[in-house]
Order: sequence, then structure tokens, then C-alpha cells
Amino acid sequence: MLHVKDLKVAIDNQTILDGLNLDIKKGEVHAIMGPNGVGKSTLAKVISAHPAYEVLGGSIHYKGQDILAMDVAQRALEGIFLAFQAPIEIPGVNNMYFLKQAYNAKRAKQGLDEMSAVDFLKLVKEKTAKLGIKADVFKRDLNVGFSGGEKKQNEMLQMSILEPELFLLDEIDSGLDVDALKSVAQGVNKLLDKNRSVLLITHYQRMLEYIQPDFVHILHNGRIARSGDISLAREIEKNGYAMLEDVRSVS
Amino acid sequence: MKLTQLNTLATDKVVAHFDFAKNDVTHLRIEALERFKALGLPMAKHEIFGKTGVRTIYDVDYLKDFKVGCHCEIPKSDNYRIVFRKGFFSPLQSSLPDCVKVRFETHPQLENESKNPFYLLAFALNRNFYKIEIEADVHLEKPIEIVYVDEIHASQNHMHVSVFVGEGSKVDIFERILIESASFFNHTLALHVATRAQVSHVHEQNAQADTHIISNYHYFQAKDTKANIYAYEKGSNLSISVWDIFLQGENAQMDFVALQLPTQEQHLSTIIDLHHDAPNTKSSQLIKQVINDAAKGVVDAKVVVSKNGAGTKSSQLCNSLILSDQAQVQSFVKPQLEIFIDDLEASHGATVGSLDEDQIYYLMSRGIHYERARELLIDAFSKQAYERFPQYAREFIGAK
Repeated sequence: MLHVKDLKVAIDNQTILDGLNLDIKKGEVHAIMGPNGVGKSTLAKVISAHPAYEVLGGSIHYKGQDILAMDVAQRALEGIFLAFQAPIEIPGVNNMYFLKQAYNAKRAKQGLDEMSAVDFLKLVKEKTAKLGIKADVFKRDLNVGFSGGEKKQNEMLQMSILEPELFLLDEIDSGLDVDALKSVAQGVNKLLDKNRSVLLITHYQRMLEYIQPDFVHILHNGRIARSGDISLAREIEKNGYAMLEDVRSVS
Repeated sequence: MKLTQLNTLATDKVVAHFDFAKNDVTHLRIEALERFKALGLPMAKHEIFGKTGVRTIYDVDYLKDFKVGCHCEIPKSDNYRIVFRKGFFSPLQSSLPDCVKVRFETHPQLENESKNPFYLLAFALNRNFYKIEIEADVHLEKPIEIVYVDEIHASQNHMHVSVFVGEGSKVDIFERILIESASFFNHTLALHVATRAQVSHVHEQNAQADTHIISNYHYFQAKDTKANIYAYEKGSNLSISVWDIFLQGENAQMDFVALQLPTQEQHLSTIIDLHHDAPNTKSSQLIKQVINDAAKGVVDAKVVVSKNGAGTKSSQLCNSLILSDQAQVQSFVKPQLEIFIDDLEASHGATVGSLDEDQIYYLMSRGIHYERARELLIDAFSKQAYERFPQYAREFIGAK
């Protein structure tokens, strides 16, 4: 589904990713771990086409097509969804209205007519009930005045309505207490099936107890330094990222 | 005749050119014209008009054409209506309840203090002085539209209309400038709001793109009055609205909301001179400006609290959103406060910014295309002003 090859990325002339390779197949859950500032979020943002990052080299293929020339919206419409670490607050844009715009953009891409307001409301109610989200989230302005947990729930709601195929989950555990974390993770798990893949970015192993990864990668020096299964995450939890120094000396 | 000619020709020649009948107000016209000539046309450093771009129209050769009789289509409406075509009251296109009368004003008051040359010009060259009288203790169930239409190319049209709102009356005035010709429209609307009266006034300026418009407003509010003023500026090539507001009676209250949306080569200006001249008066101003392309937007809003204004409450906020790259030269925003007492609460502020890239990115990351994302954010910015407009005007000003 996602094939990243020799990816080099810079922001403000500073190289962040330097020859990163990553393959994600349909239905797989990949976790990316690593210390602060190593470029984990950069990877997610570059895949979603954040304009601040400059791709210096390499390629990103998604479902067989080169997506580097596509803008943020085009990639989203192809089924890539970035769940933000800190969802952006947009005063004056009603959450429900925004959701409907996004949903109808997807329908337009599929050659379908816009969904009526009544049918869309039904859809949202059904999704919020499934995710256990309080109904008033979609009545307010987009993310404005939302608690940390509500913001993440709102990201879940968007995911469940837009039904993407590749989930980029950028430290969605940040700022959440254990209960909120559990509920968000449960939300993600409900959305997953054998056709959808996940790139999960996290600092801590605790998130991986709730969303079980097939692969765990450690990002270091702009590339993937080690890959393994959940046991690698447990090893990191136990020994910290200091063990990466050994990796570097080997490589 | 060009504005430069009006300014330099002898007064009797100007009067002859405009072909006025001699009557009881001729001497007032001449006095206004003399004062206009003494003031001169405003130049770059002029206190009121310096930044407005008005100098670009001084050498446009406007005709004095006053043809009447041809019918001009105006949008249908269920509201009460007062239609002025080319400066003349058009009774056939108007409809009014018995408690509202349109008359010739036989004793127009020329304000001694005014330093606005275009007010003086409108006073000198209007075809007829009109007054609109609204009786006391009237609560009209639907708005009165005041509609200005003009369809003669290259003409100039000056007007002076006074509105007298009777004591305790409550009235909605929906003023619509629907000029459909490349002409110059210079008008004065003087509102006299008597004790306890309440006025909601929407100024909709949505004229054709090559029109030049100067609107001179004079508000006189007596004791316990309330005025809610909403200004929507979208059309025309050059538009200047000068709002002189006098809170003269105790507890008079005024709320002003403006939405200014210049695009392309437009130059739109909102100039406010607000006087708190009685105890416990209140005012608030919210002005939102969205500037696109090579357009220019000017907001020059002054609040003056005189020695009589103990207990004044005044707030002023201007927000500008610049959508193209020429920000510094395009937006001129100047909130000012002149205070002559200590006993008051006043605040003023201004923000200038562009669209937030992170917000655009977030919207696009959900599949919303760039242009649509921008539209959503621009709407969100304007919404705070749009939402304040009264229901009767909202469908005409593109509120969502």
C-alpha cells in the first residue's frame, strides 16, 4: 500500500529524514518510535504533503502511484488520513459543516452527488453513537475549546466518516489520560480491517498495548535504525533509546 | 463637469451649469458652494480624505445629465420603500405606510462645523432637499428601504436627505445603493433620532464596479435613543462612507458593525467620527475588512469623548484580513480615541493578518481543496460581522 524509498526531507534547510525506507502492506499496523526531534512527525506530515517540508530525494508510492506531486487534499482524497497530534482550532468554522464539506469532497471524487443535510446528520449520529462520542462535539466550531480528549475523539469521528485506507496516527496519545487513551485506541481498532493500514507514531509503548502493531520501527538519524515486532517496543521501554547508540556503532 | 472645474469656476457659472430654479434655498446652495470652494478639494494630507484615493476622480468629466422618465428595474421587495432615481423621489416606485411621509425640506440646515467638502457639494448641488418624517411612537413591522438608483452613464448625482425619527418610534431602515452606471453619486443622509427612538440602519453599497460613491452620514441621537448601524461595502470602484455620529442625549447608544470587502482595483473607505457628547452614552464598533487582489481598504475611526461625556463606554475593534501579497500598501486602519475626561471605559484595537497556513493545511488534509479551504476560512473571519446583520438584510449581502 505504501512504499517509501530512500526519502530525504528537509525543513528550513535542515535535513530531518535522510534515506528512509518503509513498506506498509494492506492490513498491516506499523509503529514508528524514537526519541524527541528525530523526525517521526515529519514522516507523517511528508506522507500527507505538509507544505513546510521539502522533499530532497527519494520517492513515496501509495497504492502503486507516485504521490509526491499531489497536494494535501489530493492525497487525502486518495485515502490518506493524518490524525494530528495537536488538531488545529478553527474559530468560525462549524464542525458539522466542515465534516460535511470533507465528506462531500470525497463523494465528488467518487463521482457521487452531495449527500443531503438530513442523511448526513443521520450518518454522523450513527458514527458518534458507535464511537461513544458526545453529540455536541459536532455542533461547536472546529476543535475550538475542545479538551485534549475531545479533539482526539473528533479526529476519530472524521476518520470514521471519511473511511480512509491509510491512517497516519501522529502521537495521538499525547495529552491523554489512560481512560481517554483507551477510548481513542478502541475507536481506531473499530475502524480497522484487512484493507486498512496504519502508521502509528508514538513515544511510548503504552499506546501499543491498545493498538497492536505488526511491526515496530525505531527512527534514528533520519532513517529506520531497527525494525522488529512488539518485543522491540518493550525493549525500548525497558532500556530507553540509549541502546540506539549500539545500533549506530554496528551500522 | 469635472470636480476640479466645480472647484475653480465662479459660483454663478456652476449654478448656471446645473440650471437650478431660483427659490428659497438658492442662497443656501450658494453658501455651501462658496464654502466648498474655500475648503478646496482634499489633497494627500487631508484629515478625512487623505488615504481614500478620492483624488483619482477629480478629473473625471461627469455630465450634469438629469434625464428622467426612463424606467429603472429594481429588485422586488415586500418592504416599505422610498426610491430615489437620479436624485429625484420616485413616488410610483415607492410604498409607505401613513405614518411615514416624504416631503420637500424647505428649511434645510447647513452645518456650520463640517469640514467635509463633499457634504457641502451635496448640499449645493442636490436636485431637491428631501425629508422623510416618521411619526412618534410608531413601531413599523417591516423595514423601510431607501433605494438609490441611477442608470445614466458618466452622470453625477448629488443628494441631501434628512430623516426625522419621531419620539419613541422603532424603525428599520434598509438603505440600498444600487447604482448601475459608471457615474458619481455623492449623497448625504442626516438622521435625527428623537428621544427614546430606536433605529436599525443597514447601509448596503453594492454598486456597479465602475461607480464612484461618497456617502455622508450625520447621526444626531437624543436622550435614551439606540442606533444599530450596519455597513456592507462591496461594490463600486471608489467608495467613501463618512459617518459623523453625535450622541447628544443622555444614555444614547450606538452600535456599528461594518464589513468591507474590496477586490480587484477597488478602493473602499469607512471613516467614522463619533462624538460622545452627553453623560452615560455607549458605543461599540466592529469593523471587518477582507482585502483581495490589488484592492485597498481604509478604516479611519475616531471616537471623541467630550467634557460632557461622563460615564461613557466605548469599544472599537478593527480586524483586517489580507488575501494578497501587497499588505502594507493595501490596508490602512487607524482606530483613534480622543478623551477630554477621566470618567469613562474605553478600549480600542486593530489586528491585521493573513490566512493561517496551518488551518488551510488541516482543512486540506481532510480532502477539502485549497480554494474551498480558503473560502471556508474567509467566511469564518467575516461571520462575526455577518451574524450581527439583521435578518431583513442578510439574504442581500451574501450572509450564509
